[in-house]
Amino acid sequence: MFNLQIQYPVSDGLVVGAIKPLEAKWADLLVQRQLPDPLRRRMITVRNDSGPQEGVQSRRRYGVNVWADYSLDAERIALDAMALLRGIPGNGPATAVDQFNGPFEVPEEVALTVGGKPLVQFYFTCRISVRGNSPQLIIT
Amino acid sequence: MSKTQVTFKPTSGGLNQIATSAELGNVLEGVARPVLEAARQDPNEAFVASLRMRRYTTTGRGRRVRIQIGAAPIIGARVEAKRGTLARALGRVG
Repeated sequence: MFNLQIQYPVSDGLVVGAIKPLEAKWADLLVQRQLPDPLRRRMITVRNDSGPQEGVQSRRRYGVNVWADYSLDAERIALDAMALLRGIPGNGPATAVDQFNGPFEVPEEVALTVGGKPLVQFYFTCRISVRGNSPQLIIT
Repeated sequence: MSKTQVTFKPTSGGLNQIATSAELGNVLEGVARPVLEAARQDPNEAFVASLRMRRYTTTGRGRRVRIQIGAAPIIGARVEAKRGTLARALGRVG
């Protein structure tokens, strides 16, 4: 009987860090895991929806929400974020980024507002695979 | 010493039959049902009421049986963006 003991790394910081450079490109944009308080007219939140562990790989699905005061800006920011995420593999424990879905507009019942102006929300998902550290095969 | 060898050569027709068979569909439904049950734990009642699982066979080359789980478009998008319910349900069952 044997089993594989392996330690998988945290990956949320890797994902947020990959998208952070957009703050320099888009004025007033904030990228983080939670919605900021107070809200900003441009925001990105990153949510880890986890996923299965397959051997030495952990396959994690991420949900990314983008808000902006104009629809075209929200979509462009989302597309920029997707492009940056594709560059993650090769940087740290991430081995692959795939299964992108979106971005699509999310019609909210009650939209978030900043300065009296309702924000437009876009959403996309992707799967990020990270490699575990120090695998050990335990034979009993 | 004499040897004998058995070779299995699947024909494309045979594989297509397997890929579109009711038996495979039943296996896939067994895999999909826990995903649906996990998604039904979402607190939004309208979302849960709109969840559907359906079996269908794709058309064209490479036909195969598939299971699809989804919710009504607008409420589904809202819930998925807010909580990632279907993504988490999928990950929960491996």
